[in-house]
Amino acid sequence: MGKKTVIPFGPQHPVLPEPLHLDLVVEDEKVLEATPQIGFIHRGLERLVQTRDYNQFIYVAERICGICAFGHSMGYAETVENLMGVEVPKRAEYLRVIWHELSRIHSHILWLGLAADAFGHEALFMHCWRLRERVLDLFEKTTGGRVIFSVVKVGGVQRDIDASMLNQFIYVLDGIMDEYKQICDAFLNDASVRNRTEGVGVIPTEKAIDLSMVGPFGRASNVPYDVRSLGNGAYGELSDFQPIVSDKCDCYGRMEVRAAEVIQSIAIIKELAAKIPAGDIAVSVKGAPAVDSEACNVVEQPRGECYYYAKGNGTKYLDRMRMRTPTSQNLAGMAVALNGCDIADVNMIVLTIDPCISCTER
Amino acid sequence: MGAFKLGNMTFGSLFKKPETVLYPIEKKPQPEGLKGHIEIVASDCILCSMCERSCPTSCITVDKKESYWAIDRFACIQCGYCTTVCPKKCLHMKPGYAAPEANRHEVRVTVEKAPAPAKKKAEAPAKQAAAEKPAATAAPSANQVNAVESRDELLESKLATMDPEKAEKVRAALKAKA
Amino acid sequence: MAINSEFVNLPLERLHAEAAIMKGENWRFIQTHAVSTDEGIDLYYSFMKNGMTRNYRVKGVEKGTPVPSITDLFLAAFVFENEARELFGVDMRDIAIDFHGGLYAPAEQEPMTVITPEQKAARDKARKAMLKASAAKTDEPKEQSQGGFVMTPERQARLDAKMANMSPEKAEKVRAALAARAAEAASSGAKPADAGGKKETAAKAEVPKAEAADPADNVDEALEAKIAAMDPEKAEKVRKALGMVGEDVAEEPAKAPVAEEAPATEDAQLADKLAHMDPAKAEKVRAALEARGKGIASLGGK
Repeated sequence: MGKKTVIPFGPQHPVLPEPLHLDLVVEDEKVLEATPQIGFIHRGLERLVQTRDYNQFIYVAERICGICAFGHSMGYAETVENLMGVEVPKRAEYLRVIWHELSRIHSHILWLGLAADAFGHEALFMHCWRLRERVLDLFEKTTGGRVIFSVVKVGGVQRDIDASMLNQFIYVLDGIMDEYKQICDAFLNDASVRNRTEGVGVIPTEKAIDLSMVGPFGRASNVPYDVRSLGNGAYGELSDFQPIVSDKCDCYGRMEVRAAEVIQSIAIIKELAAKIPAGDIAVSVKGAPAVDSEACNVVEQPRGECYYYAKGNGTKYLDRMRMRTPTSQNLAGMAVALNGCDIADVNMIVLTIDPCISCTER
Repeated sequence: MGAFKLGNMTFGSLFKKPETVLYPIEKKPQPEGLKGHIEIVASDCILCSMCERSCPTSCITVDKKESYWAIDRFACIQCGYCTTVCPKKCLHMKPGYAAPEANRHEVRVTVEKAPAPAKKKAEAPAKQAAAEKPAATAAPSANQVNAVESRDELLESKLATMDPEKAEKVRAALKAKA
Repeated sequence: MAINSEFVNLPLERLHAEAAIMKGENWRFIQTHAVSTDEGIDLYYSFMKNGMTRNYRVKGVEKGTPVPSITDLFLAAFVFENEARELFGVDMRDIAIDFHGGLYAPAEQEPMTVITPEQKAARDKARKAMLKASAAKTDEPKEQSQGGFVMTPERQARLDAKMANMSPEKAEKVRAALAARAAEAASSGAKPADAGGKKETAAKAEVPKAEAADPADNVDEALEAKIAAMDPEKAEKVRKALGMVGEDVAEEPAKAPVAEEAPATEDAQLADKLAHMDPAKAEKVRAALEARGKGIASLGGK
């Protein structure tokens, strides 16, 4: 029995893309307890909503996070539309979902790359990010931005995607499929990768429900919860949607879920591109949210369920805007998963929740 | 299970054309509609300052008196909101990212004064400005700008306390006056 | 398509017990957040089950009132509770992972509760503008058909006579009560006799647990909560006024079961506002109000 030592981990750490700090109480090589600490990049964006009108704030909302930028702008717009009772044209809903699924593909491939980096597989990391670049090019062509898109507005979307571009989407996504499957093979079947991920950071299903985990992190623990299955927006038009779950409950399961979700997203884009209706892409929104009107909304972002709440006060400035991002919900799960793990596995476990501290602190 | 699952791909990429480009020599083509920078067609601008009010980062300044439209490219976030609110659609988002520069500064575009009907009114402030200028030649024009700004602020705060309809009318009247 | 959601009021003392019930019923905890209002901090606790989002609203938590943590039930709440304490100054007790004010360590104390004078002015103006608009709207017959509360000409006359004898302040209060009654009448619908019972619950500020998502119930709760949120003196007066006209409520024919809570609460706010206005303006608004009353009366005739 060794003596207890507290090892600080982060906010600057080679494996962490985000400023997360952990106090790891360590005995020998085992982590006994982990306390997460955030708060290095709090920007007060929830306060900013009081000085930017509801049209302007959409550009602030999507800057909450660089990866789920589209999800945030879409979630925010939907919340304000709920608040003001605006009905969005069908075509706009389809376009939003197509872009949102595209951003899920890019987020998941990015994450797979980071995971490869975390367990030391540099070549795999490079290949993942190479594929992601193709997706970013699609974004660049259709929205004009690579990371921040500024394409959603309250009442619809700002740009349309024409039929030839939609065909190009499918062409490009089919094009990366072959290489993507090889990458997935490396992730899921390679002996060295499996040695690093199997049985690491296990959270059993009951525990996952108890900790109200969301997103791929929860689904990897066999919690079949996915906001998309509630059928908001164009998700309701899908012929069949089943959340992808894994019963592995460990880091391997989380990779499995994300790897499969990319393929699911490609299928969703194909289906919606085939049956997208013609029509307007936006309605004009006039006036301001009523006094004391309230609305809430949930959106399945790449990292999991994101909750939005908005309160109006009669002016064009909102009284309160709340975004509860998936990472803040999963922090508790992460702390639990870290208990009892090897210190060498800490980076793997932290990465598999896909922490986005910028999201968490807003 | 197996090892070297990525072997094929890694080996294959030895013989492929590189994915990256030799940046300064070779540049990636920028697609049409890329959000690069804001451009203004000065001849269409009516100096209504809708863009100034709608900008989330307040990077646009419109001065009716001095008759210029200015943008701080360092503050601009390329959201394109100004292009959608512009009543004359004279603002455009164009490809081509703003080049890096050593000092933060505004880019000013002089806008020609509005034609005939507004001429008479336009002359009066011009005369005023001319009268003020000799006095303030020593002091930089920043002072003037400040004064204008503070007056504008005062006005805005007044407008904010009015009910929206009335405020809208006052604004319209102000615009007409200008 | 909007998601399936509801907002339910909850008194602070029942917060932890309710959370335990939610835990027992396998609701999934979504989040907690705070909203700064004039009456204090509103705390929101969101839960989800089978696609239904239920937001519990704990209204008007004043500074220094201890709020029990629910992290013993839902550990995931620790970030949000720390956040509520640091940004809103809510006195959270016994958080499982407690940062003791070191989560964000903001430079300013409780930055989210600061309301600048410009913001306040803009909000008040917007509120007034909306009230005016709604007062004007009631001239239209369509609006009245949803009012539920029916003012017959005799009653109007009787009321006017009564009001003439009262001090202006009190008259305002009565008007507010009338508005409240309109909502009561609309919400109690087929069982007006219930009104007395509901009032008692209001007095205790006890919100019954919403078993079913009955819209009428929700409106009642909202009304009760509004009364509870008022300052005690005023609430007392409104309640008295409600008692005074209570028997009238029993006679109310349930003309329109459609519950419309908004205009009623606006009226209450309006009365409050009137007291602060200059007399000439107040007179105008009152005239508008009366016009509204007559409009309603004409509907009653039909």
